[in-house]
Amino acid sequence: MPLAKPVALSPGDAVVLGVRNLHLAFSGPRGSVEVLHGVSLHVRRGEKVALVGESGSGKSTIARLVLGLLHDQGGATVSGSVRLGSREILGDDAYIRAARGDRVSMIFQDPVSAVNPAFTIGDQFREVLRRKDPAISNSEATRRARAALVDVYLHDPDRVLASYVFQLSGGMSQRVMIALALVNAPDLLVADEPGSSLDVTVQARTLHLMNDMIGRRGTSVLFISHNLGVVREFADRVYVIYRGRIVEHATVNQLFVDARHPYTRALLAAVPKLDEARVPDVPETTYGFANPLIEHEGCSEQPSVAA
Amino acid sequence: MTEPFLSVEHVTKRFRSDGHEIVALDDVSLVVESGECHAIIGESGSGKSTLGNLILGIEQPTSGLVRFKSEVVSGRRRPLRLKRAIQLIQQNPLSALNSRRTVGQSVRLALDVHHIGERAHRRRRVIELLGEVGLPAEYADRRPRGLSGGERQRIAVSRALACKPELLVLDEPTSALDVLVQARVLQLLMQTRRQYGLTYLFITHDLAVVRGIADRVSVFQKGRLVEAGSTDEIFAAPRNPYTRRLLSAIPVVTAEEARHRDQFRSAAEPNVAETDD
Repeated sequence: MPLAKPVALSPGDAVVLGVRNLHLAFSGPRGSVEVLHGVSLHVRRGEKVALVGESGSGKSTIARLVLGLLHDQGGATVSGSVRLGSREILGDDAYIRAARGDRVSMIFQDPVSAVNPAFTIGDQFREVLRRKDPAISNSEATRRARAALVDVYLHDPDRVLASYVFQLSGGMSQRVMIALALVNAPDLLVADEPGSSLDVTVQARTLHLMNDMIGRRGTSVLFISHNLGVVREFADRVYVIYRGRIVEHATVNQLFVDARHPYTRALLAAVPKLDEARVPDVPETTYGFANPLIEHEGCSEQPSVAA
Repeated sequence: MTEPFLSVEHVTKRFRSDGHEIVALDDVSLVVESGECHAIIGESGSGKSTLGNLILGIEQPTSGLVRFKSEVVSGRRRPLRLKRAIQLIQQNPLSALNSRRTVGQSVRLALDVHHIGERAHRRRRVIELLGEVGLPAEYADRRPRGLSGGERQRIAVSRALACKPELLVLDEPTSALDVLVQARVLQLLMQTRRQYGLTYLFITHDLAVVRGIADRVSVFQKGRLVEAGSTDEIFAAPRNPYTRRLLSAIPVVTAEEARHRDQFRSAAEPNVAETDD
């Protein structure tokens, strides 16, 4: 039961996230170092878009820019455009702070370190719910939190609400993170390596659950991952990033059947295969990895932004 | 019948914490043949790393014993020659290497501790060892912090090789590496095993890696050995439901792999409502 389905790309669909020509440089003792070299990507309403790359490729940096978590860092110079719906958010720190946890939410790799250990899960839910509705009563917040936990199949929500995150198993805290991230029905969910610190059977269930939840709500997802297998199972469309540049852009079906960029081909070749009794053979050279972007048919046009 | 290279015989290991007793290994018996790559598969809490620690002598079994070439090696202070013969490669090479030492000093220490080769020739031997894992001589003067994950893991391999080991215990040796780097380190490990006739105990949660490198597989779940067999057998027809569940949960990248995997899914559909995780 592959989760990925072919996606109909109709240009009229509203763009929930639009990133255009994003550059990022850090100034250090030896001058300025550019780490993102003009990244463009978009996520339409209800779409699951993956950004896949190795460590140091810049994929998590892009997630942090989208979430407005990099702006206050000293020495960073950003240019380009990041739009949430029709709203430019690059440089609008006040807006992105207000939107975070409400219109945009996030799930991180390690569910245990992603939340404050000094607050109960119930406290976390109240705080998140107040970001959308500052006047929400404690009893209403508890009612909504219980419903959200039951939605992720946690059958004893009262016990979970009274718990601290370190009292839960990895799989349970990942479910809590998903419930927290979706409780305010955000337009966009940024998921940075969700479940990759968990066991493979737990990860499979987590992804299944996430897929189920966002499918019901029509939430758009920017899915950051280094794991091509997980991307194939989960995403509709994929951007491959190499050293701060998008090198290939395709639907999941196009990418995994017909990868065209030398870097993507090397990545796919390097994955150990379940049906091959040998270690993948990878050339030591990196010739061609810096080749220009390859966009597959039907992927290139970024529609104009709907309100 | 020849004596087994390494045998684990009815080993049980219990840990006590906060008044709870945890059974990390429950009456486990297995044999590792000389020259094979034997994979130990399991998820967190399966006892796979505890097994490695018992074989390395870092832990002692609560009951049962470990024999290395018919000599009982568990349950007492381990002589230096056994420490030399059984070497460890860890998941995180940065914490395995002393950040204050240069790469050359780290590899050299193994030669000094085990009195391998003439003192005057050890510097040259260090350079040779680095060469064997594909690192140039100038790396001897560098420190681990400035190196990539793949380079650090190569250094850990060269330090293990310095000891002229017979058995390598590899505990998730490529799990922290990017996929391209992982493929290269796996190639190096397989080439090294052939070249030196080493035996590997390869501990991992990654079944796709196991398919490519292992001769035989032992599957662990919650401290128990639930299935063992040749890699071909296990991947063609896993008998234990847990093995099937593990196989069916693997994210794959090709349609052929997906077909292969999905044949195990019928009985092991991942259920989102399951909360025993």
